[in-house]
Amino acid sequence: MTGEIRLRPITSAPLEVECVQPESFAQLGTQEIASLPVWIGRDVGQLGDFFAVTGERSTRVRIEGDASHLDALGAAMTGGTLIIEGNAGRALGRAMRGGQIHVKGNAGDLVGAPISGASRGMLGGEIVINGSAGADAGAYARRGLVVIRGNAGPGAARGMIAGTVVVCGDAASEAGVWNKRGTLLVMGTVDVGVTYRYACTYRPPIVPLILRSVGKRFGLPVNDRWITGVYRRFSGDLAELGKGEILQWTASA
Amino acid sequence: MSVGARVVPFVTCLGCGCACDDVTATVRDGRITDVANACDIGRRWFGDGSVPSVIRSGGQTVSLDRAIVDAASVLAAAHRPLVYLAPELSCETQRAAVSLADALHAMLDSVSAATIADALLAGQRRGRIASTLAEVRHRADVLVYWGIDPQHRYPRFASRFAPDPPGLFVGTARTIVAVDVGEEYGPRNADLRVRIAPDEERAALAILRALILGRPLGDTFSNDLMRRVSRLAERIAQGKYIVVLNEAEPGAHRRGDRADGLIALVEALNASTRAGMCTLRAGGNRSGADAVLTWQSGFPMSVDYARGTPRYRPDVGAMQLLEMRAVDIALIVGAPLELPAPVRESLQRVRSVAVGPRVSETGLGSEVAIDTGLPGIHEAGMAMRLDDLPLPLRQILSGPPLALDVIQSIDLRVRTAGADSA
Amino acid sequence: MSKARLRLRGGKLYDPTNGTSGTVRDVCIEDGRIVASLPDDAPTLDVTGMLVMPGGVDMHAHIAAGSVNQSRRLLPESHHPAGAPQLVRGNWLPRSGSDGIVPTTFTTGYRYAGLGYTTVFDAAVAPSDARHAHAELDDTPIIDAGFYTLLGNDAYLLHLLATGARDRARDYAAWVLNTTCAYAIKVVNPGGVELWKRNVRQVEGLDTPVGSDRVTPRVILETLADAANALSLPHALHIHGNRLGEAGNVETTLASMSALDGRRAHFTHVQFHSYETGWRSGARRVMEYVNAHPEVSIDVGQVMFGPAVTVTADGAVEYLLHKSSGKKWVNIDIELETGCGIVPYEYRDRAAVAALQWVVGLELFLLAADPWRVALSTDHPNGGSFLSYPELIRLLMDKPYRDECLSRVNPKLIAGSALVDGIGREYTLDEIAIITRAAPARLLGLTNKGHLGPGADADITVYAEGENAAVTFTSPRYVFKRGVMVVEEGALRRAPRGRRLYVQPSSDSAFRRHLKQWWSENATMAFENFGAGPLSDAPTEARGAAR
Repeated sequence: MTGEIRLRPITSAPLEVECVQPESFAQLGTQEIASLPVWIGRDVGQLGDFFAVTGERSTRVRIEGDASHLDALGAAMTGGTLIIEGNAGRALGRAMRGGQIHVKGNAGDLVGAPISGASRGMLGGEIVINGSAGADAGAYARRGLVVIRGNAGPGAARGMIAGTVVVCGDAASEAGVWNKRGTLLVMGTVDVGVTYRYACTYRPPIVPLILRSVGKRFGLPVNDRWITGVYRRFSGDLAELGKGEILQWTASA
Repeated sequence: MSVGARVVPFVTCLGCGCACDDVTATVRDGRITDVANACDIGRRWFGDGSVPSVIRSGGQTVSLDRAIVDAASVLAAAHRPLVYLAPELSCETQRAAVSLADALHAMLDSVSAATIADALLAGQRRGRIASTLAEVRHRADVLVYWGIDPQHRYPRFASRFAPDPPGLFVGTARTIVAVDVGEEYGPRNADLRVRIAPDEERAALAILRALILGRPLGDTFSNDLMRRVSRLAERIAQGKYIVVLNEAEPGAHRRGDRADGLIALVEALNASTRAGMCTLRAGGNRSGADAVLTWQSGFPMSVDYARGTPRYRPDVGAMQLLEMRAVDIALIVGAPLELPAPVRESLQRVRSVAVGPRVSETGLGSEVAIDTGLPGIHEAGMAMRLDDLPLPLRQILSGPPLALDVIQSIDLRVRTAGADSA
Repeated sequence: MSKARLRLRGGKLYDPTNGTSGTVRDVCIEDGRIVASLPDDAPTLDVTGMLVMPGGVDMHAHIAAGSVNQSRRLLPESHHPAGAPQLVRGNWLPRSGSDGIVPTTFTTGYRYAGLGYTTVFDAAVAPSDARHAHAELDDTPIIDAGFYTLLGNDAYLLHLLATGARDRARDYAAWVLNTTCAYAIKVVNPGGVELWKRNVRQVEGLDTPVGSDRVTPRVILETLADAANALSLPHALHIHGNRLGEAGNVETTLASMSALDGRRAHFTHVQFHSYETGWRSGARRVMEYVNAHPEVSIDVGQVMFGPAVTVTADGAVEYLLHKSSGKKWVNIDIELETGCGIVPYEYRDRAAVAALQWVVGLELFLLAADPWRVALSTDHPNGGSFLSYPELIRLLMDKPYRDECLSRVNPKLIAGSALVDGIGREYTLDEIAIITRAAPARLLGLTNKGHLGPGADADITVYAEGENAAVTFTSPRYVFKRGVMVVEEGALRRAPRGRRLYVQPSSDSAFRRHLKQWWSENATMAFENFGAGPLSDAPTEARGAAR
């Protein structure tokens, strides 16, 4: 089944490609997509100058290859699916509102973060990263889901208003700082800050739902013990509302 | 007073962000011979008022008109120009420079991106709670110096604003709280001193806010940091009008979280008492650049006009573009000597045009370099104090060309050339 | 030397000041002014069938200086790119900027002119920020503009009142207006801003003491209203009363109006001050008072559904809004003078209080017996952008459309309001011309604005009349600013510099010595450096109050 649009990067020059909006591709033919505007500095080129475009009229877009030179992929995305076969650059899914992003490699800093100076990051949608993510993944999210199969850099789930960040590996320092109502789920190690309080150890019902759903839909390998295991719940950040949580997987109760 | 001396009163000093405007300059034989009331930094700022007046293009000394024509043509031919606002500019010159960046479709940035950027961004995300200097002087009963002792870089702050002069609503009864963050020490005469290691700072700010909000932190008094911060919280919260002082200039342990955490702290204090922040800044009208960029473009720094309209790009500011070698020409406006070393080094690696005080002496190797006078010494106009309030700049001496005139001439030429070729 | 002349031929003229309502009459322009006639060979622009009105006059908006610029800085995410206009060759440099709820300076000028507004006042500038306000207005093209300077929470005035030196307030006000080159005196939450700085968050009423029994909101209001009238300022004291945005504040609003009984006074964004206890409309009672008191004028401060940013010197109310909305918050305590509070906000038609606010504003318009004392405003950007004026005009002119909108709003708090009870009134074009230009110009004492009689500034807006008033008023076909055609065939083509509107009353020199002494003891900037410095424009010719 074709049913998707494929973009194969021709160059590795740093680019912002705001025109890659899966939802808006539903009505566009290959030529129309290839002639969408792409700015480099003061000049405007066409998407086809930087990508070999195949496919048409679909809300499923696949970037075939490495995209670490592309910043803000899927920014402000409202729907559809964006698949990145390689790595993604910075600010993947910045201020995303809906749809799915699936990165097969790693992602840079600021996954799902706000545009500069805004107080809200992603408002909805899902970002799934098979590899690791840089700093501040899911920062200031208001809704939505970020799943990182590998490790998360510093400040994961920073300032979350709500929403969920799942880190299957380790979360680096400052995880969940200034978190208001968000949920940070960590399977590996996490340094829980002093303004979080241990609440209990339990089986959060939400965990199997999220993991099974993501595992199935994105083909993400999920360890059964994460589903059957228990989690230590820390509530915080008490420096904010204190209504958020860090859930840390523990092998046994 | 000797014959031939001229006295210019109420001169505004741009030696630091305090912008003391009670300085009286005495001029003899075209030189400033005295600046009464100025501190050491102020004396250095004014000097004797002499500045170099060299105009060079392509390594040759040329006329001003020639240099302006060359600057305009170099800039107009650029593929990805950068307009960089260094300190030591009047607001009028800053306005003209933004106009030029707009005309050039340039990346526009200022020294704020290398100094106060964290605070600007945190202030945009969380908001801003500030007190201007008269409020600090007349209301503050608790002064919290967070990693700053104004004595070093703002010598008259204490005597002009706080804590020395009596406040209308507090008299002289003030509590001085010093928070030493690593090597960034608060004032020596503090009533309470708390030491925090740089890697404890973010946690300290979070604890402080949680305590102010009355959140139950549980059994935490086994924790040494918690004990120190509790003492701090207790003392601060007793204030009726608390002012938290910090500094925008790069220190030894700059961390983005400080600005964020301090705003969060001050916000929390306002639930039950009143509190504001006062962020000290270095000289040369830095606050003015933020204000001008904001009213003309909508954004205080890192504005990309590449698409013909302003775009806010603090994550891809001048420094990153220079690092990526994306810039082919930089127009440096202002005094490059006042830039942080990394910025200067980056600018050194790119072709440039420089217009500002002492640009001929900065070793940037600019293709066109036009020395200008200094704002508030040779150029009249407006500047902003560190609390964003405007002050007049008076002309004390005549001197080299004015930066405002030069930038306006380049702007006009660039725009006319653009219209002719269109 | 040839004169710049133009005859606008065949338009339907709406010039309420001169008693013209829809009459087909030529308008003659010579050297930037309206003249009675022109020679037959003067150039002509055919505007047959179009509506010709004086340029719009906005007497209450926030477009320049500290608080506005802090709002711009706070909201990078709400800015949209605004391209530079395609101007014909001239002496002006077309500038790009940002659109959105608080546009940048150049864009503000372009947008107002594009809407047919040629005169705008910023309603709140801290005296110590005056120099900055003028600098921003220098970068706001086309429109003639000025500002009101904030008094009434400043330490020196409160000191005068506390020490029984109320009679010096007139000189003080004159000095502040003079040095700041302001146009009028504005008071915001009299005494309440100072109380907020002292952590007193509620002003109970007009007799709440402000640090001294001699200093109360009532005394502040009386003192400043008297000062404005004694100085024969062209505009009355411009009053943002106590208890803005609180349920039950209509009592305070009516008490404030009564306190100034018989004195010329302008109450601003009255919509925000007209709520009965329990969040009900107080518009009926307010308009009963206003209708019966010819010395009182108001502007409405209509709320329009959509994004807004609340920006005011009234810091206490912004703190409450910050806590209730969870939105980011700016508070700046300014120099023993005033304050600044900012919270971004969105008025939703499904929200009960926002729906009530929308209803209250419309009621104030629709219950007005004398539109000459009711100016159109949204308190831009507080109730909504000035760009929503055409939509507001449609709501006033088109009852079926208004009813349709009313049926969509949250009904919880609006039962029993005059609007729900069915006010049938539809504003006529003549009345729209009154509330958008003739009345504000008259209330401001601007003798050369808001009308098209001989001698008036040739600030003229020409609309192509259509079925939908919102469309008509959104894009004028032609706009003239002092005779220069700035909008041509619906497109902005010229951007001349606007002029500054300000007054220069004089104060007593003995008083100034006294002030200077206090200043040298207490101020953080030199007395000699305070204010705006000389402006290149001459002070405004304006007519002061007779009373």
